[in-house]
Amino acid sequence: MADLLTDQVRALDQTRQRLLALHTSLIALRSDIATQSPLPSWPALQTHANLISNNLQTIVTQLSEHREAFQSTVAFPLPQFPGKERSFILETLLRTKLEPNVEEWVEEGENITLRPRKGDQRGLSDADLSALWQWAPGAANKEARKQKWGADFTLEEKQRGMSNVITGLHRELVEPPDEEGDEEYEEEEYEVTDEDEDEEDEDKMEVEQTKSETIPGGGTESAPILRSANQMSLQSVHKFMTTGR
Amino acid sequence: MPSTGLFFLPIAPNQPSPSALLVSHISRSFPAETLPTFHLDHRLFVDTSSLLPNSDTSLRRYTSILTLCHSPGTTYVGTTPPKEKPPAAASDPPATSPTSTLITIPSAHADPFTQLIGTKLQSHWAHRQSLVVDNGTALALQHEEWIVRIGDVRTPTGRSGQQTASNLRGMIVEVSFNDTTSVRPGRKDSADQQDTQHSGVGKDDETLIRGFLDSLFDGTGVQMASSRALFRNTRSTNPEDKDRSGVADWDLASLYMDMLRTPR
Amino acid sequence: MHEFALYGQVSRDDHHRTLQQLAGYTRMQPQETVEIHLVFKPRTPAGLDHLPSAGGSQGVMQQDVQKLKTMLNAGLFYLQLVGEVVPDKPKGTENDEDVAMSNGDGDHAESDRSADEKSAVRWSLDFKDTPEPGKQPVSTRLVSRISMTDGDFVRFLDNFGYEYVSRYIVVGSKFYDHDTTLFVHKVLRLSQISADEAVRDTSFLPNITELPELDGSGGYTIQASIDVVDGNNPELKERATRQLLALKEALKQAVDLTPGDRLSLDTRVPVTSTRTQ
Repeated sequence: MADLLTDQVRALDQTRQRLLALHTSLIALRSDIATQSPLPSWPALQTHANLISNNLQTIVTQLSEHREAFQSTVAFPLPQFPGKERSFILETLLRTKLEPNVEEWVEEGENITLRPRKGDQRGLSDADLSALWQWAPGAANKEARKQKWGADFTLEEKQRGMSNVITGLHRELVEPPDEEGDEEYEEEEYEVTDEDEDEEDEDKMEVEQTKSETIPGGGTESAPILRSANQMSLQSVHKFMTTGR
Repeated sequence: MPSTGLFFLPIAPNQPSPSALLVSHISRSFPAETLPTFHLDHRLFVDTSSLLPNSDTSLRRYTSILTLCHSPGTTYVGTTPPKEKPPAAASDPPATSPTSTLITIPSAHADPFTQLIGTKLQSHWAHRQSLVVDNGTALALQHEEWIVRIGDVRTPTGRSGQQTASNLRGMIVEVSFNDTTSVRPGRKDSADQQDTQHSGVGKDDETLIRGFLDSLFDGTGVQMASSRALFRNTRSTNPEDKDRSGVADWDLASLYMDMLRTPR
Repeated sequence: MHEFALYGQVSRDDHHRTLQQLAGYTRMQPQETVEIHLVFKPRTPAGLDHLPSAGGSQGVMQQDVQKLKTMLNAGLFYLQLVGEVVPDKPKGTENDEDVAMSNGDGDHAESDRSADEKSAVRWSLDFKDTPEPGKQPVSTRLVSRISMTDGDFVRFLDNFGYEYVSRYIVVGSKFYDHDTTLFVHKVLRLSQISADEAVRDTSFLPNITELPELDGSGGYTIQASIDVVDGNNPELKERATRQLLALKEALKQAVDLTPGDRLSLDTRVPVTSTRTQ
């Protein structure tokens, strides 16, 4: 039985530090949830979650890096250890099995990892899944075009009257521009930014698209497949234009 | 309507052209008024198939791209019809082919067209010869009743344009008699005139033109007897007879094409 | 001159929107364009059938004959007489920027224009080569457009070795962006008549909307092209290609621009010689 190398000691200590950090961030989240009223804001929760996730990530990396050393290391009490006064720590350190409640967690985790592989009935079939992916970009695009981005209200809300919208907060909110106002804005922007062609042109196209799509009944954009369904092929048109037949 | 006679005097290799002598002789002997320089550019193509050793060269077809100083900015493109039947018109001057069908294009398009023919249309047409008159002289006599143009016909020498004796092919003389007294039916439609073929010049006018040329050249020792001559009625230069189509003078262009098609 | 081009399709429903987008992109109102196309097909040169068999007795002539053989086999290409219909009134008279657009369908604007009593037609002889082979980001082809100002074009072409095949008409809207021409167009059929009449006939122009469409769906073709005088200059070629690809990228939401199918743009006429090489 050899003594631990300095490297290994340092790795152990680092792991301890990381676990401590994870512990702190978990505590912080719990106390926030427990004490704050109203509940912490969504961004704040998100920050907590990110922090915890990062901590977990580094710990996992750390553990796997020193896996060999940690697995072959065993703890044993030295004679000078005050076994009577610190019996709890001693038992914890010497315990070779996990605590029953921890074992339950592990089992639960393993079940979760296994689930998709077993073809859980709650998942989508391959065909449905690919259909969903086919549909999603178009649908997302369509949804996106329905709105004037950069405003705090949806067009729907604006139509119904913005004063009726319950925001729960009182601050300066941006309302989406009108069609006409939009156009004017476009024109102006045009003349001012005469340089930087590409940027501006890109801009213009986007705006145009949005505009025409908000016209009622103009929703044909999501049918690129339909577009060429009964249209003569480009090849045939070219062939005719070339040969006159 | 003016009658025009075109004379081509071949010049043997390394012989000088008599053109300078003639111009100075006429200017000295007659009250002549100098008109803007006389120049032309003629590019001749023959149908590629006719160049094959076993083909009948009498059936050869020609395409000409002609730019004349008479109508600035306009270039004529003429192509002869296929000669399947012998020419019927007895009035046709001998040794000439049936009249070309002419169109006009902007002179700026002459080079691209030449290029197109030489590359993408080469299975139909092969470049045969280019001839130019660069710095000819144009003289008006007797209050523009007569106009004489004299120029040296050369094969082009590239961009440098030095006039060596080696690229001299002959001398061309154009005599136009603008007969203001006689009235002849004018033509209206430029497209139709090519069908009607009434451009032949009467014997009288021909004799008149020859006689005039002889009197001009009298005393210079230049013999036009060995020259080839073609005659044709051409477009009037009178302002009141202005062609609707602008500057195109189809008959004059045809005359030059006929002449320059066989310059030897 | 070389033409660099990308092609795409616009459905009938998308036509108006595409015009709007292009108007926005190019910052100009569309220019309504009407072109009459007369297609001419070359006759097979007589010489192709009379090529002397190789190894003849006249050894001296072989070289010349070989050259002629190459010339005769250089390929036969369709030519077109294209008549651009010149509107009588200059377009600039329209003050209302939206007039052309508010119709909801570009066709009306076209017919309004050509209805002006007697339209002048500017003819030119058009040659377009088959696009260059190989996988290219844009279609590249040699083109030549010779204006024809006066004369009997049909008879000239007949003597020149080309016979009339058929005619059709192209209507659409042109936009210009720097060197690039964007042409959204469709092909309308014309009744087939003799070449002589075809070159004179403009009677259909006032009723252009009633002409049958080649593509029954009412769809349009879009061509984005750049003409380069010296198309062999690699720098200019590179630039034209770059510009077109940038345009393709900028318009990708609106229309898919791709290089043309070389086979369907092939202007060569298959040679029907009784002899084979």
